[in-house]
Amino acid sequence: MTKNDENGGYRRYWTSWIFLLCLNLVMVIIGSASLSRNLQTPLLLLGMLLMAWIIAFRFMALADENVGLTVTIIGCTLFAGGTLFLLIAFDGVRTFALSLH
Amino acid sequence: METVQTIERTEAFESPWAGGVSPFKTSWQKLMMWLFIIGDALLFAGFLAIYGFVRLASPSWPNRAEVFHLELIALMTTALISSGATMATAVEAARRGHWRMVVRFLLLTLAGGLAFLGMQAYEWSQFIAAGATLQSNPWGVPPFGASFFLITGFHGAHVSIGIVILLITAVRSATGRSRAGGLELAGLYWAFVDLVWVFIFPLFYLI
Repeated sequence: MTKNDENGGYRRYWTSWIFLLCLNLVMVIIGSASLSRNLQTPLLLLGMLLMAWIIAFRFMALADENVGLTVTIIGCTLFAGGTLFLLIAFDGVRTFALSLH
Repeated sequence: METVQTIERTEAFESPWAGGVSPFKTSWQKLMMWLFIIGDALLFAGFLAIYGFVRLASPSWPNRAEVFHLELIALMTTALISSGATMATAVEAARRGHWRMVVRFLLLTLAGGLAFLGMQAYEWSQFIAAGATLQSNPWGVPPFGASFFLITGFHGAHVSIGIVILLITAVRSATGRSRAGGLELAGLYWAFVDLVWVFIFPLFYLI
């Protein structure tokens, strides 16, 4: 392994770090700006997902894992998370409806 | 007899249902860590979903700009993200056998984690001093205080456990008893703590 390869390996973590710090700053600015809720919320959610993607694929090295493992992890989390959300959603909607009366 | 047992064991390991000796071409320790992470992620997903519904069901919700110091929260996020980068570097250094570098970056990760916990303790002390408890708070929305203490407290507990793991890993690495695989598991756990905060940060403090 050459010195350049070695530095390249480390460099990808630190470029991700700089990108994450910039995203953090942008999100705080958006969060404290007086934007309309319809614009602010999707922007913040997009920033959140981007940060999560960078951490999962770079810091957790999911990008270097076997494709089957990556698909299983993401698939399991989304499926189980979605099921959990639906289970809570029924009660949540009922509570919300009660709060309106 | 021994031959029969060996054949049975080999068949069990190599059957398609068992996934072979190394399912997904990864170590079983790493696979178990991923399963733990998925399970723990669902716990946090449940907390955040409940928080969302409680917030929707409440007729009003405190203005976050009046309650939180966003500069402090941004600093907390910076500390945790930076510790994530130092941990990833330590894991990479372990893979290459640079153990001195591993110890150095593990200590930096520990410093980041402790800085985050210190800032969280300060934030909690401010909240408690203002009169917030699990049941009530000065902003008049009882579920707000409960959600805050539950979600940030649960995450803080994960950070504390991570710090203990990092401390043990640093000592083991410094004394030459650690392996790259073990460090990778500690790295996965620490990155997961980072990942959870990335969801709590906008959903609780910004939106």
